[in-house]
This record gives sequence, C-alpha cells and structure tokens, in this order.
Amino acid sequence: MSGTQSGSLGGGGTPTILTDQANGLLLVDNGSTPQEAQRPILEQPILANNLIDPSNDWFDMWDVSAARMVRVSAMRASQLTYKADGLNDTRAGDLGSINSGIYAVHDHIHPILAITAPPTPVITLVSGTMTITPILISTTITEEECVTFQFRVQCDIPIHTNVWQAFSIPSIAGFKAPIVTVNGTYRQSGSPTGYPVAPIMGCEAALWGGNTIYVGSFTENVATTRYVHFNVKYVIA
Amino acid sequence: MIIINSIGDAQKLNKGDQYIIGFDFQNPINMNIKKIEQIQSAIEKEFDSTKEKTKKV
Repeated sequence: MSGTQSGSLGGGGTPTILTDQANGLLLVDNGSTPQEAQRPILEQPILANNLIDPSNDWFDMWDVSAARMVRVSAMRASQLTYKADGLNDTRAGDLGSINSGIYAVHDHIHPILAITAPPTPVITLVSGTMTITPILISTTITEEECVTFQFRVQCDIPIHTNVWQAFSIPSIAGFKAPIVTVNGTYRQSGSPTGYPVAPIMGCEAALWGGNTIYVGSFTENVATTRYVHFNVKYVIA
Repeated sequence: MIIINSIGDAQKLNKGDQYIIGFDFQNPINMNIKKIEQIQSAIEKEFDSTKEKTKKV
C-alpha cells in the first residue's frame, strides 16, 4: 500500500488537507489548528512485544468509563525466565509468546512481595472474669496474600462457677475470616479439681466458633495462671 | 472493639477495622454458625480486594 495519501475537505472556505505521515499518523490541517491522528489504515510496521519501551511507548485504548480514547504505558514482554517464588522453590515461569498477546510482562516481579501487615489484632475478653495479657511472640510473618501473627496470651483466671472464660481474636475488614490455630497451653500455677498438678504443658484451651478461644472449664475451684499459644492467619479478602 | 451482631452492622466498618462477630459466648453449643458465616461473607464481599484492584482511581 502506498505510504502517502492526501486529500482535502472544504466547503468553499479554507480546505482541510489530510496528509499521511511517514510515521503512520495522519495530519489533519484545517489551516489554523493542524493535528495528527492515528491513521485507520493497517500499514504501520509491527513492533515485537519484547521491544516495547514501557517508558516511551504507549497503548491507545478506549476508556469506557470516561468514554474517550486514552493512552496507557505499554507493557513489554519479558525474555527472561523469571525467578522462582522463594528459597528452595525451583518452579520456573512460563514466558508465553512474545509474538502473541499472552506473555509474561517485563516487570513481573519475583520473588513475591509480601503484603504490609495490618496493625496487631486486639485480643478481647468476651466472657468470664479472667485477666488477659496478650503478647506477640514472633515477628509478624507476611506473605504475598496473607499475614500470620503468633500470640501467647497470659490468662489469670480466678475461681469461678458456671462461667466460661473466653477471648476472641478479631476479624479485620479487608481480610477473610481469620484462620486460628491453638497450639497448646502452659498452666503455670493452680490445680483445680480434676486437673493434673501444675505446672504442666498441655492443651486446656479450645477454639470455638471460628474466632473465640475458651480456656479451662465452666467451673474451677482454684485460681490459675495459664498461657495460651495460638496462631492467627489473615488472608486478603 | 467493634461488635457486629447483624449484616446491617457491617455498615459501621471501614477497611482495616478490627471487629468481632457477636454471639452468646456463655452458650457456645447454641451458637448460630450459619448466621456468623452470613455476616462474615457479607463483610468479605463488601471489602473484596478484587473489587478494589479493578476500581479506577
């Protein structure tokens, strides 16, 4: 196809001259405000996806919400087999095909980036008269889509009759329901009737209802100090 | 701590807020698991990060 085409539109006044440009654009010159537009003729050269310069090349696209054409930074295809996700992870990525619309993007980042952890969950007493002292026992463990907190909660439990002693781990808006795992308990002091003599490592707390941990029995005739270890994992919603 | 007792209460929440879904803690065996799940699902849907990612800024 010819590299140049030209013509004019005019109604008796100054004609509007249309001139193909060597760069693939069309010059629309009405004599006062000439503009260049993308030429609707498929005669431009093809640029391979791996040669795109994401700093200087652009995709023209239709923005539905704004009902207009816009420009966005073009994405360059990667030619590197990107790294695995982490230590001892030998998985290799699939580059796809640079000559198709399905390819790994040049700035695809590996290893994975961990999310920013939300503030430490506030452990709340929801039943009983015990005093709780939560302690975060590890640095917060963040991953690509989740964060895990490891807690030890000191529970000073008075003598009680027919009252559950329980605390809850909060959900966080923006995360799925927390995944709570009780690892065990340490009863440092106090040996209510029916329990082995303290100090003792065991599991005298139970997860119930997803987020709530019940400690000990409904009735205990001796005050105790217990430590409950649990993990709580939050996954982005 | 924000206590959520119904789906309507979820309107109180902002992204990042910590909350507990309330039930009768003294009566654990009668806890309404289905209701808790409905509330939790509704809140997750409200703060779905997929929706966030596709939102134009």
